[in-house]
Amino acid sequence: MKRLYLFLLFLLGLGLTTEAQTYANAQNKEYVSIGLTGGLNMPRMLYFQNTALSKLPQNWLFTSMGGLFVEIPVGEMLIIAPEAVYVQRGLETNYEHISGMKVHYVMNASYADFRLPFELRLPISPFFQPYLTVGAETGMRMFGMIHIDRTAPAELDQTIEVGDANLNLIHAGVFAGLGIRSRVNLGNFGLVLKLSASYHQGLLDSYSKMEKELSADPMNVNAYNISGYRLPQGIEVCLGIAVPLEPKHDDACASFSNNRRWVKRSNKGFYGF
Amino acid sequence: MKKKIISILWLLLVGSMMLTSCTKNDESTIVLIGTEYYIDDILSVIPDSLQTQFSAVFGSIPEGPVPPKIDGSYIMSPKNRVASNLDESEWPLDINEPLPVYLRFSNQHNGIVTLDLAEATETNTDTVFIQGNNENFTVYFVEDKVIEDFSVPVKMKRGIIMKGRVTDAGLADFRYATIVLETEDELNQLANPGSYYIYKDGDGMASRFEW
Repeated sequence: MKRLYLFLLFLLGLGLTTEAQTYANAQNKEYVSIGLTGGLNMPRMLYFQNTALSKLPQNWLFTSMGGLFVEIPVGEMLIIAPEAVYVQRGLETNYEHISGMKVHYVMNASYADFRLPFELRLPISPFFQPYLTVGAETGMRMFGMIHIDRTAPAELDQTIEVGDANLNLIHAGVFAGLGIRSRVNLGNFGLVLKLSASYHQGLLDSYSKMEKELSADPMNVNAYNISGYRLPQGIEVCLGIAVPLEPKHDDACASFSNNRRWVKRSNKGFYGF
Repeated sequence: MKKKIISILWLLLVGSMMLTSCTKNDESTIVLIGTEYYIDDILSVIPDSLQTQFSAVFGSIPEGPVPPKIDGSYIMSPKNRVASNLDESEWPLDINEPLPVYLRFSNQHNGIVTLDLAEATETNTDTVFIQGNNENFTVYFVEDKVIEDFSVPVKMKRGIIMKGRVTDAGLADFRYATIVLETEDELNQLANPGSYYIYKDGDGMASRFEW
């Protein structure tokens, strides 16, 4: 008899432990999420193999960016989060030419990007999951402008639209960064919040083919000879919010400890059975 | 649900492709020009002591940071001496040099241009400075020259200035000056530092030609 009590006590303990683990797993389980992202991008250009231009000072441009992303959990620590975003690239510089001209030059072009980040997260808790992100991006130039104004002795104030003559249509690059991911349960549904900072490096020359072939008509000089590469760079700080696409299941174990399982939650019936 | 997500991504991609059609400019650019580290002042070519005298015979020097596009090949023929500060009995002016001068300018960018210069048996390629405004230009550089024609080689540093006006036919009113800046001349064969010669194209036009 005593053994029977002990056995029943053991079963009860086992059951409670199993229920607790199942509940915890249900809470921590990651689902595919879809969400919005937006933030600031601070673009600039790397002039590679061009000593004269690489020495020019560049200002910090603050531009906006944003788009949609999907989180696809792959295993416990890895998330693939493809995203489609609008982002601006370019640079701004103020400098004094050797002739005495004070030159102000701005290039600001909008792109539609598709990105494929791989996020390696550390699931310390649902609310605090620092992660490392690395990935690749490709984009298409949409619209934008290039502006120059300069003082005497060759005063000029000119603005042109970006296009095939002055900016490569396709962008390709890589990025890496750090972020914090947090899963928040709001009653009956959850939200994923993400804050990240990443560094982006273009790998494709942004000079146009026409500029390289000297067939683009220059508005500010009579002759030019482009050398080296112009590679876009950027630092992005983004805030993302996503909704997990949790399946509506009737897993009794997962809802066993739900204190509200008896509460009618919709006109479709009881939840939890 | 996955199909919906993929559809959204496709729509975004197609939408962005359509937006690129809004791009209108497919002809012009604005070229960012830097502060080249090898820009030099034209005063390094013309010594201060010569400024007034030289300007009186060479004329004004076109200035400005946006010179005309000079890329191309030109022939200066005939090459006439027009002025000098040398003793005319030893260095006569009234002769036309028999051989033309060939010039080719290329890779022009932000105050510099590559010059190939061929005269008689000599050829030289150098990156030289260019300034100007509208169609008027000045090209200038300093050249170290070794003359092997004597029993002992003699050396000379000379400044060269070219000026003219770019036209469809060539370089109109083309003139160039050579100014002796320094010499190493044991045989006393060369003109003294500070000497100069000014030449012009005899027919007023250094014509374009295929190099």
